[in-house]
Amino acid sequence: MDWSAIWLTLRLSALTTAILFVLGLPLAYWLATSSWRGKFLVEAVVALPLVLPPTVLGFYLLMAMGPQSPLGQLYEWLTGRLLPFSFQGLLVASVLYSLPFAVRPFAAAFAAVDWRLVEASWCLGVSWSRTFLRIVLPLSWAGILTGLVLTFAHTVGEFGVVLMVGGGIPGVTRTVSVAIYDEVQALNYAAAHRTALVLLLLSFAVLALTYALQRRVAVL
Amino acid sequence: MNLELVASFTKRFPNGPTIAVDLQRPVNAFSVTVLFGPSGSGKTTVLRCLAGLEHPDEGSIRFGEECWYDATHRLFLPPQRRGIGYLFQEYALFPHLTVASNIGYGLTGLSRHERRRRVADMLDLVQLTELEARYPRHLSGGQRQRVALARALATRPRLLLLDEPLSALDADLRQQLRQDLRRLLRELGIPAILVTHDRVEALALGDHVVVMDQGDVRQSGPVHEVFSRPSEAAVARIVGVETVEPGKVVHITDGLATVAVGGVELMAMAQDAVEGEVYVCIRAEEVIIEKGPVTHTSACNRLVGHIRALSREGPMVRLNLACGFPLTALVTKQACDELDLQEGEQVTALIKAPAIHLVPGG
Repeated sequence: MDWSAIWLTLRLSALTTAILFVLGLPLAYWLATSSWRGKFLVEAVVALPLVLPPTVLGFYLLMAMGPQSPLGQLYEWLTGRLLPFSFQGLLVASVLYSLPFAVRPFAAAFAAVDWRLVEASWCLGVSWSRTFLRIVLPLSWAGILTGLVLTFAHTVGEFGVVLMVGGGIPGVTRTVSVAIYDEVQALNYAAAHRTALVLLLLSFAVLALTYALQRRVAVL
Repeated sequence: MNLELVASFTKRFPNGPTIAVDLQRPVNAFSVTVLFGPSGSGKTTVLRCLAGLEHPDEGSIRFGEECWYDATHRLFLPPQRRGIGYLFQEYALFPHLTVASNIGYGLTGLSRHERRRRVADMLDLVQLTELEARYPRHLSGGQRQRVALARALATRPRLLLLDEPLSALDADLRQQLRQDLRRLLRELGIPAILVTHDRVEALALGDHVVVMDQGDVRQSGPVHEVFSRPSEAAVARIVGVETVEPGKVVHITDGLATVAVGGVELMAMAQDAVEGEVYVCIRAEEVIIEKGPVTHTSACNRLVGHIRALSREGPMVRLNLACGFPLTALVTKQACDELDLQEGEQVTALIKAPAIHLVPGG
């Protein structure tokens, strides 16, 4: 069993989920409430990872992070290190690749909140941000939870982008999915099976828990 | 000090109507101003602009010394800082909070103790103390309305805005709560602006009425004056005058106008600056019906015609008459039975001259 790959994958997924929680919520709230004309462009960009082959996204990310690119140079100047084939580079790629899996459920949940409740809160003198915390969040948490779980599960299952940007360096960028691929390539089926089974059970448990929680909300 | 709400603004909607309003109401004492008109006339938009939920395109809104909105100075006070209470049409109670938490929701500046006391006072006021721990989904329509009202009143607003406060209720309850609402508003002494398309509600709750149609204010004034003396044919129809017919003033003598309507001539009180083409407005309840030969009567308009249609409406019967022009009359069920009125029958309609209201035509 490749415990270092499992640990790396869980760390990557948890961090990606946390980052998308912080970045995704405001973006989704803006998408759900804005009446700006050009909004459809932002929506299209957010949904791009759904349709692009992971290799395309991975390729462009690699170019964008490379030591010749402005982003790569900025990162090197700030940290003295390079982004590609590092855990941080992998994290950036994961955040972008999982963006629609977080933002779309968030936005759908916000859009489902009755807007008059928000207006009622404003008319009672409660500020914009407190209204978000006390009305919008509590009424859309099921959708937010869905987004977080999907993000986590999607990051765990990532393969193409991880391979392109991370390169599969053991202990640094070799996630579970890459590890399984390597084992199969080496005809080491027993090891591949053990790791794959852990991944399968973990994914099932997380999804089952989410749906159970959502059922409770629906019944309430 | 004479505190006034002065609103004069325009709100445009892309692919929609333009709403223009000019409103001036005292707000230092209790009074209910009714925004009245058919659906789509822009009443709710006006209310939303006053609340700060909608951004007007031009004009200004002032509340006493405060400026709430001014297009030329690009000034816009958000709803949070206007000190208003807003009652939404479907009440917009927070579904995840209990009755008590809903009512206490806006009391952010108060201490725990004070907040609890204010909530208790409000629960007492709307007589819902025993339901404080319930969630909105377990309340009846009438209870929801009272919670929403208590929530809006809890923050001690300086102006209460009510959007169709009774329309989500069924008829029986509506009638009862109509009286409760008026009493409550008077007790608290908070000036209110109320939107409704229901004539009975406007009459029962309002002191002052602003009649709106297609985005414009058509007439405003004391409720009874506007309802009995509409200034134009459109307002007459909106406030529910049953008969509004075009006619022509033939001559005026001794303060009495002779008006040709359809094939007959009517006598009406002459009104200032009303001559030539006019509209004749007659309320159905002002028409008296007689059967057989009319003996002595003080009513100077006697119109012979026949009943085209007869429809029962609760304790009243509505008659559509053809007597030179279409005329609607409202009689009690009892009178209808006594006279044994039938469709197609010939009757005489009697109308006193002061019951005929003339508005400029053309």
